[in-house]
Amino acid sequence: MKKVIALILCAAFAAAFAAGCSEPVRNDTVSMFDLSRAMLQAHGGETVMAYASSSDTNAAEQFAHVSSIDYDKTEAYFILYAQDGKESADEIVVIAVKDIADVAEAKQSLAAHAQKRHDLYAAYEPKHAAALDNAVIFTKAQYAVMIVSPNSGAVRKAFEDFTDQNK
Amino acid sequence: MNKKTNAFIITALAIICVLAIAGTAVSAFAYMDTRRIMTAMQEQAQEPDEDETREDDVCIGEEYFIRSTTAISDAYKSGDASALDDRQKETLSMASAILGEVIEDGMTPFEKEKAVYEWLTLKLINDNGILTVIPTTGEDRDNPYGVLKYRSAVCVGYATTFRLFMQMMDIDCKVVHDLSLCHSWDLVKLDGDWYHVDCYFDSDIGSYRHFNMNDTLASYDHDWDRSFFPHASGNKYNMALINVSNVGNIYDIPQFVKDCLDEGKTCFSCTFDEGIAREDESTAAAITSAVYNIVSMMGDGKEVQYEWIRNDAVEYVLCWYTYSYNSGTVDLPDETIEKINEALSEAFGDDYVEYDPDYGYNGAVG
Repeated sequence: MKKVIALILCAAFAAAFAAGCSEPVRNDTVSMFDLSRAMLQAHGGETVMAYASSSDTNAAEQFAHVSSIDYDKTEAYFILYAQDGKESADEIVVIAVKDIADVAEAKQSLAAHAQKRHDLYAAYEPKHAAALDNAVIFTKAQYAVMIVSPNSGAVRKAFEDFTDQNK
Repeated sequence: MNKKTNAFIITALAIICVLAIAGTAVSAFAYMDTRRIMTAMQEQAQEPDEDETREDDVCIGEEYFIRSTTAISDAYKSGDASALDDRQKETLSMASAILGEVIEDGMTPFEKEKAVYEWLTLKLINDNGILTVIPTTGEDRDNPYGVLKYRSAVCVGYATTFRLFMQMMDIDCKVVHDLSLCHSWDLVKLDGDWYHVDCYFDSDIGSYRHFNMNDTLASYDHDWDRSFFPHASGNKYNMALINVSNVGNIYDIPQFVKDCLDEGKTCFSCTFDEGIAREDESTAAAITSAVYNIVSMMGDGKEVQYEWIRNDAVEYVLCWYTYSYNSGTVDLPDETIEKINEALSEAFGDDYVEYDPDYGYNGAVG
């Protein structure tokens, strides 16, 4: 009887172990909304910025407008973008990936997005295309970030400070 | 069995269980991944080659599609709409009604084209949703159904609707797209010559700036696969060249422009009886630039553009509403500057602003 119980416990332990071998769940990704507010404040300006994030119902569909990476690889994201694209090319995107090994791919996707936005503005509103040339794209831990802002330095600092303080 | 043996057996069984479960999990993930890869390959095989230029079934701005509408135009010409679905029938009905409004008996193909261009550029709302990161543009702004029903369009909507109208009137027309798949417009054939028409760029103003351009004019703000789309060399139906006036020399430019603006003209051009010698090209550019700056500051809400082109006789033609060449600043002699200021003062009186050679743009004539 004891042997049977021991075997059952071993099997249960093995099953629990296997179940635990799933994708790691990050618990250190900051609140996208709070982070976006901090970066938006640093961005300043008069451009009315719209907000989209991984909390939205159509999050995956929205995400596809800024990145080509598999949405399942993302933990969270937000996009701040000019509500009237004709008035401004300003845009702030933060993508938090689940597996830090994917952050380089996320960064690359943002660079590709910036290039597409540049081509679009070069065709329709050339005066805003230069803003995309000055886009700041970088990674930090699990975050890939793109900043198109006349105050990109301040916006980046806001990002750095917020993520450092809210680990 | 003794305790040690029991412990050994239990441990071995536990290890076997762990390996079995882990192995199953790995196999499952590998199978799912293989399926995902195969599905992606199948989907990719079904998609048309993105590198191959074609007129229809092209995605612009990663959002809007250029689609053929020949079924609708064929139905219009044959009078038989039985093969159309309800949406196509509705499109045909709307398009027919508009042609009934703007087209008159006896119109030449050029006059018909012009009438449609004027309707599209002055009756529709230019929808700039294409520039917003997450477009809020409603559906169907990229096809004649949505354009005619909701009176709002993106570039693809203008281009496909213009083409529909042309094809309904048996005028050859193609929808062109640029190399970066960000924009589309039309090529229309009149009297054997092709012309570029970009209703989107002229939307809301109907200035004729992008109406019936040859390849050279179109290339100032368009690029396209020239090996695929027909060559556009016609000048006969370019509005600026149709309405050209003659002035004496380049110092008549300010008065000419002032007079045209006072008359309310939106598209006007001039050639020069005395011609423009090569050594006067920079002066001509400086004068035009100065006039442009003055008119831009007049605050009457008009969009000011100008362009230097060559006509069939290879004469310089100054057209109002165009791009400017920019080959850097040029040092002009003081007497030339004085002459420029005299011409500006005579034409614009109190609105006159002295020409400053260090002020921003200084385009070249060429």
